[in-house]
Amino acid sequence: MNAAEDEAAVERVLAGDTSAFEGIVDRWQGPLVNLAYRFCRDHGRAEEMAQEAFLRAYRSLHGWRREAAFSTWLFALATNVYRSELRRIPLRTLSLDEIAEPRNQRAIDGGFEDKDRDRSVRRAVLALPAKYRDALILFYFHDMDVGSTARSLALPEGTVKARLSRGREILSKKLSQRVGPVRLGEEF
Amino acid sequence: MGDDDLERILSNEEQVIPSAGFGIAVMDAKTR
Repeated sequence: MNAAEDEAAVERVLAGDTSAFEGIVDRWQGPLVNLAYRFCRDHGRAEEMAQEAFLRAYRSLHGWRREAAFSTWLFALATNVYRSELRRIPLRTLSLDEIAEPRNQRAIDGGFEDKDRDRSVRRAVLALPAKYRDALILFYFHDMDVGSTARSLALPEGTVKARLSRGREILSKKLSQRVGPVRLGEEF
Repeated sequence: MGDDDLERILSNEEQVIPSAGFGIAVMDAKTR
């Protein structure tokens, strides 16, 4: 991504050339839709959430302080939008069978159904308490960069590390259990 | 499931491709 292009586009929009926002959308639609998808695991809803993030960014461009990269500002804004959207309209209820490890041990040892297992693990992240869910989603979205994760969440790096550790601990423990239904967005 | 498995699964996400009309929809929405 080209930071200079982003800065130039923002300047043009703020100067009244609103069509320049298209360049920002073109450059960042992939990352923003992908981040939204990790928060909801639904392609249609991910696009709705990403659209809302772009609209919020468009209306808030004057609030971008140049000391942070445009991308840093945009990811932090999008993260806030996505978290708000999930509070406003929580994810649908899933049974633990849908989100936990497959029962069939061959799925683990033999390799088939690996995709189902991987999908289940990723969905299980969404059932974590929000503060752990958010840390894990952002951490892996940012290619395991704690600094970027902390900036997106507006948290100190130490807090992010603690939440990652605790989130992984809960996830690992709960994926090996099978008790009752779990409502996504609520605590295990 | 071990920590290594979790790490591997969570760090290997397939990329989602935005729909063809996504950018146009955003630009339309901002003018409404």
